[in-house]
Amino acid sequence: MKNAFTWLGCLAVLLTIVSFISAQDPIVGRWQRIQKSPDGDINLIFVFRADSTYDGIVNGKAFTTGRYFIKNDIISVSDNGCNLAYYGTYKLKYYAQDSLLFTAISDTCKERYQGANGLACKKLPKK
Amino acid sequence: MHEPEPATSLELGKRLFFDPILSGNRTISCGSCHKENLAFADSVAVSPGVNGRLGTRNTPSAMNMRFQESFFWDGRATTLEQQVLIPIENPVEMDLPVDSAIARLNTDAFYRQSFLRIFKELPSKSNLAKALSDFERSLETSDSPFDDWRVNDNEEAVSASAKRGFKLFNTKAKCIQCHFGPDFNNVEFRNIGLFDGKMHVDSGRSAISHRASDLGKFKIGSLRNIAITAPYMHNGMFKTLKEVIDYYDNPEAVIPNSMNRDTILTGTLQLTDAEKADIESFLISLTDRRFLK
Ligand code: HEC
Ligand code: HEC
Repeated sequence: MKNAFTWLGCLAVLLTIVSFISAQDPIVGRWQRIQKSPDGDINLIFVFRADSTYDGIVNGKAFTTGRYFIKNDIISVSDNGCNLAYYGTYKLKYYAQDSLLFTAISDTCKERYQGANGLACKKLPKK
Repeated sequence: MHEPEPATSLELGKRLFFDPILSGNRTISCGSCHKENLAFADSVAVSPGVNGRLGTRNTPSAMNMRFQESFFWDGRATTLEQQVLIPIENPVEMDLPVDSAIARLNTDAFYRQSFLRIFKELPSKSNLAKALSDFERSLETSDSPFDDWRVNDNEEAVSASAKRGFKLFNTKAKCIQCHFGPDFNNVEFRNIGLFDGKMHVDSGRSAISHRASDLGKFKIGSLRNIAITAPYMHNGMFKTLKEVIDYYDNPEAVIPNSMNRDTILTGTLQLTDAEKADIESFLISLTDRRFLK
Protein backbone atom coordinates (compact mmCIF):
# COMPACT_ATOMS: atom_id res chain seq x y z
CA MET A 1 0.00 0.00 0.00
CA LYS A 2 2.74 2.39 1.05
CA ASN A 3 4.57 1.58 -2.18
CA ALA A 4 1.58 2.37 -4.30
CA PHE A 5 1.27 5.76 -2.67
CA THR A 6 4.93 6.47 -3.25
CA TRP A 7 4.49 5.62 -6.92
CA LEU A 8 1.42 7.78 -7.26
CA GLY A 9 3.32 10.59 -5.59
CA CYS A 10 6.19 10.22 -8.02
CA LEU A 11 3.83 10.13 -10.97
CA ALA A 12 2.20 13.37 -9.84
CA VAL A 13 5.59 15.06 -9.54
CA LEU A 14 6.62 13.77 -12.95
CA LEU A 15 3.43 15.01 -14.57
CA THR A 16 3.91 18.46 -13.07
CA ILE A 17 7.47 18.58 -14.40
CA VAL A 18 6.39 17.44 -17.86
CA SER A 19 3.61 19.99 -18.11
CA PHE A 20 6.03 22.64 -16.88
CA ILE A 21 8.60 21.75 -19.52
CA SER A 22 6.08 21.72 -22.34
CA ALA A 23 4.91 25.19 -21.32
CA GLN A 24 8.50 26.36 -21.17
CA ASP A 25 9.59 29.44 -23.04
CA PRO A 26 11.66 28.61 -26.12
CA ILE A 27 14.52 30.65 -24.67
CA VAL A 28 15.15 28.09 -21.93
CA GLY A 29 18.41 26.30 -22.70
CA ARG A 30 21.92 27.19 -23.79
CA TRP A 31 22.73 29.69 -26.52
CA GLN A 32 26.07 30.18 -28.15
CA ARG A 33 27.82 32.86 -30.09
CA ILE A 34 31.36 32.48 -31.40
CA GLN A 35 33.15 35.72 -32.16
CA LYS A 36 36.37 35.88 -34.11
CA SER A 37 39.17 37.94 -32.62
CA PRO A 38 42.82 38.36 -33.61
CA ASP A 39 43.83 36.42 -30.48
CA GLY A 40 41.55 33.49 -31.21
CA ASP A 41 37.85 32.73 -30.93
CA ILE A 42 35.70 34.16 -28.17
CA ASN A 43 33.11 31.62 -27.13
CA LEU A 44 30.05 33.21 -25.53
CA ILE A 45 27.35 31.05 -23.94
CA PHE A 46 24.15 32.19 -22.29
CA VAL A 47 22.22 29.82 -20.07
CA PHE A 48 18.56 30.69 -19.63
CA ARG A 49 16.94 28.58 -16.93
CA ALA A 50 13.29 27.76 -16.33
CA ASP A 51 13.54 29.46 -12.91
CA SER A 52 14.01 32.90 -14.56
CA THR A 53 17.76 33.09 -13.86
CA TYR A 54 20.44 33.33 -16.47
CA ASP A 55 24.23 33.28 -16.65
CA GLY A 56 26.73 34.49 -19.22
CA ILE A 57 29.91 32.53 -19.84
CA VAL A 58 32.88 33.59 -21.94
CA ASN A 59 35.58 31.08 -22.85
CA GLY A 60 34.40 28.88 -19.99
CA LYS A 61 34.43 31.73 -17.44
CA ALA A 62 31.17 32.62 -15.73
CA PHE A 63 31.02 36.41 -16.11
CA THR A 64 27.52 37.53 -15.34
CA THR A 65 24.48 36.21 -13.55
CA GLY A 66 21.01 37.66 -13.33
CA ARG A 67 17.26 37.37 -13.76
CA TYR A 68 15.00 37.70 -16.78
CA PHE A 69 11.36 37.67 -17.70
CA ILE A 70 9.64 37.56 -21.04
CA LYS A 71 6.43 39.13 -22.20
CA ASN A 72 5.43 38.48 -25.80
CA ASP A 73 8.64 39.05 -27.72
CA ILE A 74 10.30 41.34 -25.18
CA ILE A 75 12.85 40.16 -22.65
CA SER A 76 13.76 42.15 -19.54
CA VAL A 77 17.14 41.41 -18.01
CA SER A 78 18.97 42.46 -14.86
CA ASP A 79 22.39 41.21 -13.85
CA ASN A 80 25.04 41.66 -11.19
CA GLY A 81 27.52 43.39 -13.51
CA CYS A 82 25.08 46.24 -14.15
CA ASN A 83 22.65 46.64 -11.29
CA LEU A 84 20.42 43.88 -9.98
CA ALA A 85 17.55 46.30 -9.46
CA TYR A 86 17.52 47.68 -13.01
CA TYR A 87 16.05 45.85 -16.02
CA GLY A 88 17.16 46.51 -19.57
CA THR A 89 14.77 45.47 -22.33
CA TYR A 90 15.46 43.75 -25.64
CA LYS A 91 13.33 42.56 -28.51
CA LEU A 92 13.67 38.86 -29.25
CA LYS A 93 13.53 37.55 -32.77
CA TYR A 94 13.68 33.84 -33.51
CA TYR A 95 14.65 33.69 -37.15
CA ALA A 96 14.87 29.94 -37.20
CA GLN A 97 13.97 27.45 -34.52
CA ASP A 98 17.52 27.48 -33.22
CA SER A 99 18.57 31.06 -33.94
CA LEU A 100 17.87 34.11 -31.84
CA LEU A 101 18.58 37.81 -32.27
CA PHE A 102 18.54 40.39 -29.46
CA THR A 103 17.84 44.03 -30.35
CA ALA A 104 17.96 46.69 -27.67
CA ILE A 105 14.79 48.59 -26.83
CA SER A 106 16.24 50.38 -23.81
CA ASP A 107 19.23 49.68 -21.63
CA THR A 108 21.26 52.28 -19.78
CA CYS A 109 23.91 49.74 -18.79
CA LYS A 110 26.59 50.47 -21.35
CA GLU A 111 28.54 47.20 -21.05
CA ARG A 112 25.44 45.07 -21.44
CA TYR A 113 24.08 47.20 -24.27
CA GLN A 114 27.33 46.84 -26.20
CA GLY A 115 27.40 43.10 -25.70
CA ALA A 116 23.73 42.32 -26.24
CA ASN A 117 22.42 44.73 -28.86
CA GLY A 118 22.48 42.92 -32.19
CA LEU A 119 23.66 39.72 -30.56
CA ALA A 120 22.75 36.66 -32.60
CA CYS A 121 23.13 33.23 -31.07
CA LYS A 122 22.44 29.62 -31.84
CA LYS A 123 20.81 27.13 -29.53
CA LEU A 124 23.04 24.34 -28.32
CA PRO A 125 21.69 20.80 -28.26
CA LYS A 126 20.61 19.59 -24.79
CA LYS A 127 23.49 18.05 -22.83
CA MET B 1 68.24 17.80 -19.60
CA HIS B 2 66.41 17.34 -22.87
CA GLU B 3 63.25 19.35 -23.18
CA PRO B 4 61.40 19.08 -26.47
CA GLU B 5 62.30 21.84 -28.91
CA PRO B 6 59.72 24.61 -28.97
CA ALA B 7 57.56 24.29 -32.09
CA THR B 8 55.33 27.33 -31.72
CA SER B 9 55.62 30.94 -30.65
CA LEU B 10 53.75 30.02 -27.44
CA GLU B 11 56.17 27.20 -26.57
CA LEU B 12 59.13 29.44 -27.29
CA GLY B 13 57.56 32.12 -25.09
CA LYS B 14 57.23 29.60 -22.28
CA ARG B 15 60.91 28.69 -22.54
CA LEU B 16 61.89 32.39 -22.49
CA PHE B 17 59.59 33.10 -19.54
CA PHE B 18 61.54 30.70 -17.35
CA ASP B 19 65.01 31.49 -18.73
CA PRO B 20 67.30 33.86 -16.74
CA ILE B 21 69.11 34.67 -20.00
CA LEU B 22 66.84 37.73 -20.20
CA SER B 23 68.31 39.33 -17.06
CA GLY B 24 71.49 41.40 -16.78
CA ASN B 25 73.39 38.95 -14.58
CA ARG B 26 71.55 35.84 -15.85
CA THR B 27 69.97 35.03 -12.50
CA ILE B 28 66.36 36.20 -12.76
CA SER B 29 63.62 35.05 -15.11
CA CYS B 30 60.02 36.18 -15.36
CA GLY B 31 59.25 32.96 -13.51
CA SER B 32 61.42 34.00 -10.51
CA CYS B 33 58.67 36.43 -9.49
CA HIS B 34 55.67 35.00 -11.35
CA LYS B 35 55.69 31.49 -9.86
CA GLU B 36 53.70 28.90 -11.72
CA ASN B 37 52.39 27.09 -8.61
CA LEU B 38 51.15 30.42 -7.18
CA ALA B 39 49.07 31.27 -10.25
CA PHE B 40 52.12 33.11 -11.62
CA ALA B 41 52.23 35.50 -8.66
CA ASP B 42 54.61 35.63 -5.67
CA SER B 43 54.24 34.99 -1.95
CA VAL B 44 56.19 38.02 -0.76
CA ALA B 45 55.05 41.66 -0.64
CA VAL B 46 57.86 42.74 -2.98
CA SER B 47 59.82 40.26 -5.13
CA PRO B 48 63.59 40.62 -5.38
CA GLY B 49 65.04 41.29 -8.84
CA VAL B 50 68.70 41.15 -9.93
CA ASN B 51 71.17 41.39 -7.02
CA GLY B 52 68.24 41.26 -4.59
CA ARG B 53 67.03 44.72 -5.62
CA LEU B 54 63.54 45.56 -4.46
CA GLY B 55 60.88 47.60 -6.21
CA THR B 56 57.84 48.96 -4.44
CA ARG B 57 55.00 46.91 -5.89
CA ASN B 58 53.55 43.48 -5.34
CA THR B 59 53.83 40.90 -8.13
CA PRO B 60 50.34 40.32 -9.54
CA SER B 61 49.29 37.07 -11.17
CA ALA B 62 50.34 36.96 -14.82
CA MET B 63 47.36 34.67 -15.55
CA ASN B 64 44.07 35.65 -17.16
CA MET B 65 45.57 38.52 -19.13
CA ARG B 66 43.65 37.90 -22.34
CA PHE B 67 40.65 40.12 -21.54
CA GLN B 68 42.69 42.86 -19.86
CA GLU B 69 42.98 46.24 -21.53
CA SER B 70 45.90 47.58 -19.50
CA PHE B 71 48.79 46.06 -17.61
CA PHE B 72 50.65 46.84 -14.38
CA TRP B 73 49.00 48.34 -11.31
CA ASP B 74 49.04 51.77 -12.94
CA GLY B 75 48.08 50.52 -16.41
CA ARG B 76 51.19 51.93 -18.06
CA ALA B 77 51.19 49.26 -20.80
CA THR B 78 48.18 48.86 -23.07
CA THR B 79 49.16 45.72 -24.98
CA LEU B 80 50.82 42.52 -23.82
CA GLU B 81 53.49 43.01 -26.49
CA GLN B 82 54.42 46.31 -24.82
CA GLN B 83 54.12 44.84 -21.35
CA VAL B 84 56.50 41.91 -21.74
CA LEU B 85 59.55 44.02 -22.67
CA ILE B 86 59.24 46.36 -19.68
CA PRO B 87 60.41 43.97 -16.88
CA ILE B 88 63.47 43.02 -18.96
CA GLU B 89 64.69 46.62 -18.94
CA ASN B 90 63.49 47.51 -15.43
CA PRO B 91 66.64 48.05 -13.29
CA VAL B 92 65.01 46.53 -10.18
CA GLU B 93 63.68 43.50 -12.06
CA MET B 94 65.81 42.00 -14.85
CA ASP B 95 68.00 45.02 -15.67
CA LEU B 96 68.93 44.22 -19.25
CA PRO B 97 68.41 46.70 -22.09
CA VAL B 98 66.15 45.05 -24.67
CA ASP B 99 68.76 45.56 -27.41
CA SER B 100 71.28 43.64 -25.31
CA ALA B 101 68.71 40.90 -24.72
CA ILE B 102 68.18 40.59 -28.48
CA ALA B 103 71.95 40.51 -29.06
CA ARG B 104 72.25 37.71 -26.48
CA LEU B 105 69.51 35.64 -28.08
CA ASN B 106 71.20 36.07 -31.46
CA THR B 107 74.47 34.66 -30.16
CA ASP B 108 72.75 31.73 -28.43
CA ALA B 109 72.63 28.78 -30.84
CA PHE B 110 69.47 27.30 -29.37
CA TYR B 111 67.45 30.52 -29.55
CA ARG B 112 68.86 31.52 -32.95
CA GLN B 113 67.64 28.25 -34.40
CA SER B 114 64.33 28.29 -32.57
CA PHE B 115 63.44 31.82 -33.72
CA LEU B 116 64.45 30.96 -37.28
CA ARG B 117 62.36 27.80 -37.24
CA ILE B 118 59.26 29.42 -35.74
CA PHE B 119 59.32 32.99 -37.10
CA LYS B 120 61.54 32.48 -40.15
CA GLU B 121 63.66 35.34 -38.81
CA LEU B 122 66.38 36.02 -36.26
CA PRO B 123 65.45 37.11 -32.72
CA SER B 124 64.16 40.69 -32.70
CA LYS B 125 62.26 42.97 -30.38
CA SER B 126 58.96 42.21 -32.07
CA ASN B 127 59.21 38.42 -32.26
CA LEU B 128 60.50 38.28 -28.66
CA ALA B 129 57.45 40.29 -27.60
CA LYS B 130 55.24 38.03 -29.71
CA ALA B 131 56.55 34.83 -28.14
CA LEU B 132 56.30 36.06 -24.53
CA SER B 133 52.84 37.57 -25.02
CA ASP B 134 51.54 34.44 -26.78
CA PHE B 135 52.62 32.46 -23.73
CA GLU B 136 50.88 34.92 -21.41
CA ARG B 137 47.69 34.73 -23.47
CA SER B 138 47.68 30.96 -22.97
CA LEU B 139 47.53 31.31 -19.18
CA GLU B 140 43.74 31.41 -18.90
CA THR B 141 41.95 29.62 -16.08
CA SER B 142 38.25 28.79 -16.30
CA ASP B 143 37.91 25.64 -14.24
CA SER B 144 37.14 26.84 -10.72
CA PRO B 145 34.41 25.40 -8.50
CA PHE B 146 32.57 28.72 -9.02
CA ASP B 147 32.57 28.20 -12.81
CA ASP B 148 31.45 24.62 -12.34
CA TRP B 149 28.49 25.86 -10.28
CA ARG B 150 27.43 28.60 -12.71
CA VAL B 151 28.34 26.98 -16.03
CA ASN B 152 27.29 23.40 -15.38
CA ASP B 153 24.56 24.05 -12.83
CA ASN B 154 26.52 21.81 -10.46
CA GLU B 155 25.02 22.83 -7.13
CA GLU B 156 27.51 20.62 -5.26
CA ALA B 157 30.55 22.39 -6.70
CA VAL B 158 30.62 25.13 -4.06
CA SER B 159 29.59 25.24 -0.39
CA ALA B 160 26.50 26.96 0.97
CA SER B 161 28.85 29.47 2.55
CA ALA B 162 30.42 30.34 -0.84
CA LYS B 163 26.93 30.80 -2.33
CA ARG B 164 25.98 33.18 0.45
CA GLY B 165 29.33 34.90 -0.06
CA PHE B 166 28.61 35.42 -3.76
CA LYS B 167 25.29 37.00 -2.86
CA LEU B 168 26.94 39.33 -0.35
CA PHE B 169 29.64 40.15 -2.91
CA ASN B 170 26.86 41.24 -5.29
CA THR B 171 24.83 43.19 -2.73
CA LYS B 172 25.67 44.32 0.80
CA ALA B 173 29.47 44.17 0.39
CA LYS B 174 29.35 46.14 -2.91
CA CYS B 175 32.40 44.34 -4.31
CA ILE B 176 30.61 43.79 -7.63
CA GLN B 177 30.53 47.52 -8.28
CA CYS B 178 34.22 47.30 -9.15
CA HIS B 179 34.99 43.58 -9.48
CA PHE B 180 32.86 42.21 -12.32
CA GLY B 181 33.20 40.41 -15.62
CA PRO B 182 35.02 37.17 -16.49
CA ASP B 183 38.02 37.98 -14.26
CA PHE B 184 36.17 39.96 -11.59
CA ASN B 185 37.83 43.23 -12.39
CA ASN B 186 37.00 45.80 -14.98
CA VAL B 187 38.98 48.14 -17.13
CA GLU B 188 38.83 51.06 -14.71
CA PHE B 189 41.30 52.43 -12.18
CA ARG B 190 39.89 53.12 -8.72
CA ASN B 191 41.12 54.38 -5.39
CA ILE B 192 40.19 52.09 -2.51
CA GLY B 193 41.94 54.32 0.04
CA LEU B 194 45.52 53.04 0.14
CA PHE B 195 47.07 56.46 -0.51
CA ASP B 196 47.55 59.04 2.24
CA GLY B 197 50.60 60.91 0.94
CA LYS B 198 52.49 60.15 4.18
CA MET B 199 52.82 56.49 5.06
CA HIS B 200 51.31 55.22 1.83
CA VAL B 201 52.81 57.22 -0.99
CA ASP B 202 52.34 55.34 -4.28
CA SER B 203 50.13 57.69 -6.29
CA GLY B 204 49.36 54.99 -8.90
CA ARG B 205 47.53 55.95 -12.05
CA SER B 206 47.98 59.72 -11.67
CA ALA B 207 51.74 59.40 -12.27
CA ILE B 208 50.88 58.02 -15.73
CA SER B 209 47.81 60.07 -16.64
CA HIS B 210 48.98 63.30 -14.91
CA ARG B 211 45.41 63.86 -13.76
CA ALA B 212 44.82 64.90 -10.15
CA SER B 213 41.55 62.96 -10.16
CA ASP B 214 43.56 59.74 -10.66
CA LEU B 215 45.49 60.21 -7.42
CA GLY B 216 45.84 56.88 -5.61
CA LYS B 217 43.93 54.96 -8.25
CA PHE B 218 45.08 51.49 -9.25
CA LYS B 219 44.04 48.80 -11.65
CA ILE B 220 41.25 46.76 -10.12
CA GLY B 221 42.80 43.42 -9.21
CA SER B 222 41.45 40.29 -10.88
CA LEU B 223 39.99 37.88 -8.33
CA ARG B 224 40.57 34.60 -10.15
CA ASN B 225 42.91 32.36 -8.12
CA ILE B 226 43.04 35.10 -5.48
CA ALA B 227 43.26 32.59 -2.60
CA ILE B 228 46.75 31.54 -3.71
CA THR B 229 48.21 34.94 -4.61
CA ALA B 230 48.67 36.52 -1.15
CA PRO B 231 49.83 39.08 -0.14
CA TYR B 232 47.38 41.56 -1.65
CA MET B 233 47.12 45.03 -3.19
CA HIS B 234 49.66 47.03 -5.21
CA ASN B 235 51.93 47.21 -2.17
CA GLY B 236 51.26 43.75 -0.78
CA MET B 237 50.09 45.26 2.51
CA PHE B 238 47.44 42.65 3.35
CA LYS B 239 48.65 39.16 4.17
CA THR B 240 45.34 37.31 4.05
CA LEU B 241 41.93 37.54 2.42
CA LYS B 242 40.53 38.04 5.88
CA GLU B 243 42.61 41.21 6.24
CA VAL B 244 41.36 42.39 2.83
CA ILE B 245 37.72 41.86 3.80
CA ASP B 246 38.24 43.54 7.19
CA TYR B 247 39.75 46.48 5.35
CA TYR B 248 36.78 46.90 3.01
CA ASP B 249 34.44 46.54 5.96
CA ASN B 250 35.96 49.63 7.56
CA PRO B 251 38.73 51.33 5.52
CA GLU B 252 38.95 54.27 7.90
CA ALA B 253 40.07 52.00 10.74
CA VAL B 254 43.14 50.89 8.74
CA ILE B 255 44.14 54.06 6.87
CA PRO B 256 42.43 57.01 8.56
CA ASN B 257 43.50 59.93 6.40
CA SER B 258 43.46 58.45 2.94
CA MET B 259 43.14 60.84 0.02
CA ASN B 260 40.62 60.59 -2.81
CA ARG B 261 39.08 57.31 -1.58
CA ASP B 262 36.21 56.10 -3.77
CA THR B 263 32.76 57.23 -2.64
CA ILE B 264 31.54 53.61 -2.71
CA LEU B 265 33.89 53.01 0.19
CA THR B 266 32.82 55.78 2.53
CA GLY B 267 31.45 54.47 5.79
CA THR B 268 31.46 50.87 6.93
CA LEU B 269 29.82 47.79 5.41
CA GLN B 270 28.71 46.43 8.80
CA LEU B 271 29.56 42.87 7.83
CA THR B 272 29.19 40.26 10.57
CA ASP B 273 31.97 37.74 11.18
CA ALA B 274 29.84 35.06 9.53
CA GLU B 275 29.31 37.26 6.48
CA LYS B 276 33.03 37.94 6.21
CA ALA B 277 33.71 34.21 6.33
CA ASP B 278 31.12 33.66 3.57
CA ILE B 279 32.79 36.23 1.31
CA GLU B 280 36.12 34.53 1.92
CA SER B 281 34.60 31.13 0.97
CA PHE B 282 33.33 32.67 -2.24
CA LEU B 283 36.76 34.11 -3.06
CA ILE B 284 38.35 30.70 -2.42
CA SER B 285 35.86 29.13 -4.85
CA LEU B 286 37.52 31.16 -7.64
CA THR B 287 40.63 28.96 -7.50
CA ASP B 288 41.24 26.93 -10.62
CA ARG B 289 41.22 23.18 -10.07
CA ARG B 290 44.81 22.83 -11.25
CA PHE B 291 45.83 24.58 -8.00
CA LEU B 292 43.50 22.58 -5.73
CA LYS B 293 45.09 19.44 -4.41
C1 HEC C 1 61.53 41.05 -10.00
C2 HEC C 1 60.23 40.44 -10.13
C3 HEC C 1 59.58 40.39 -11.49
C4 HEC C 1 60.11 39.90 -12.67
C5 HEC C 1 61.48 39.32 -12.91
C6 HEC C 1 59.06 40.02 -13.66
N1 HEC C 1 57.94 40.56 -13.09
FE1 HEC C 1 56.17 40.85 -13.98
N2 HEC C 1 55.57 41.97 -12.45
C7 HEC C 1 56.26 42.19 -11.29
C8 HEC C 1 55.67 43.28 -10.54
C9 HEC C 1 56.16 43.82 -9.21
C10 HEC C 1 54.58 43.73 -11.31
C11 HEC C 1 53.68 44.93 -11.00
C12 HEC C 1 54.51 46.14 -11.37
C13 HEC C 1 53.74 47.41 -11.47
O1 HEC C 1 52.52 47.38 -11.46
O2 HEC C 1 54.37 48.46 -11.57
C14 HEC C 1 54.54 42.87 -12.49
C15 HEC C 1 53.54 42.93 -13.47
C16 HEC C 1 53.43 42.03 -14.51
C17 HEC C 1 52.27 41.87 -15.36
C18 HEC C 1 50.98 42.68 -15.30
C19 HEC C 1 49.84 41.98 -14.64
C20 HEC C 1 48.62 42.86 -14.53
O3 HEC C 1 47.67 42.42 -13.88
O4 HEC C 1 48.57 43.97 -15.07
C21 HEC C 1 52.57 40.87 -16.27
C22 HEC C 1 51.65 40.31 -17.34
C23 HEC C 1 53.93 40.46 -16.01
N3 HEC C 1 54.42 41.17 -14.92
C24 HEC C 1 54.67 39.56 -16.76
C25 HEC C 1 56.06 39.45 -16.67
C26 HEC C 1 56.94 38.90 -17.68
C27 HEC C 1 56.50 38.37 -19.04
C28 HEC C 1 58.20 38.96 -17.19
C29 HEC C 1 59.49 38.55 -17.88
C30 HEC C 1 59.80 39.22 -19.12
C31 HEC C 1 58.11 39.51 -15.85
N4 HEC C 1 56.81 39.84 -15.59
C32 HEC C 1 59.18 39.65 -14.98
C33 HEC C 1 57.38 41.47 -10.88
C34 HEC C 1 58.23 40.84 -11.78
C1 HEC D 1 35.69 51.10 -5.49
C2 HEC D 1 36.03 49.90 -6.23
C3 HEC D 1 36.25 48.62 -5.44
C4 HEC D 1 35.39 47.98 -4.57
C5 HEC D 1 34.00 48.43 -4.17
C6 HEC D 1 36.05 46.77 -4.16
N1 HEC D 1 37.28 46.67 -4.74
FE1 HEC D 1 38.64 45.23 -4.44
N2 HEC D 1 40.02 46.25 -5.52
C7 HEC D 1 39.79 47.47 -6.14
C8 HEC D 1 41.06 48.03 -6.58
C9 HEC D 1 41.25 49.35 -7.32
C10 HEC D 1 42.06 47.13 -6.16
C11 HEC D 1 43.57 47.34 -6.27
C12 HEC D 1 43.88 48.36 -5.18
C13 HEC D 1 45.32 48.63 -4.84
O1 HEC D 1 46.17 47.77 -5.01
O2 HEC D 1 45.58 49.75 -4.34
C14 HEC D 1 41.37 46.02 -5.51
C15 HEC D 1 41.99 44.90 -5.00
C16 HEC D 1 41.34 43.84 -4.41
C17 HEC D 1 41.98 42.62 -3.99
C18 HEC D 1 43.47 42.30 -4.13
C19 HEC D 1 43.85 41.92 -5.53
C20 HEC D 1 45.31 41.55 -5.62
O3 HEC D 1 45.68 40.91 -6.62
O4 HEC D 1 46.10 41.88 -4.74
C21 HEC D 1 41.01 41.82 -3.45
C22 HEC D 1 41.20 40.41 -2.89
C23 HEC D 1 39.77 42.54 -3.52
N3 HEC D 1 40.01 43.76 -4.10
C24 HEC D 1 38.55 42.07 -3.07
C25 HEC D 1 37.43 42.87 -2.92
C26 HEC D 1 36.25 42.50 -2.15
C27 HEC D 1 36.06 41.17 -1.46
C28 HEC D 1 35.41 43.57 -2.20
C29 HEC D 1 34.07 43.72 -1.49
C30 HEC D 1 34.12 43.57 -0.06
C31 HEC D 1 36.05 44.60 -3.00
N4 HEC D 1 37.27 44.15 -3.42
C32 HEC D 1 35.49 45.85 -3.28
C33 HEC D 1 38.56 48.07 -6.30
C34 HEC D 1 37.45 47.79 -5.53
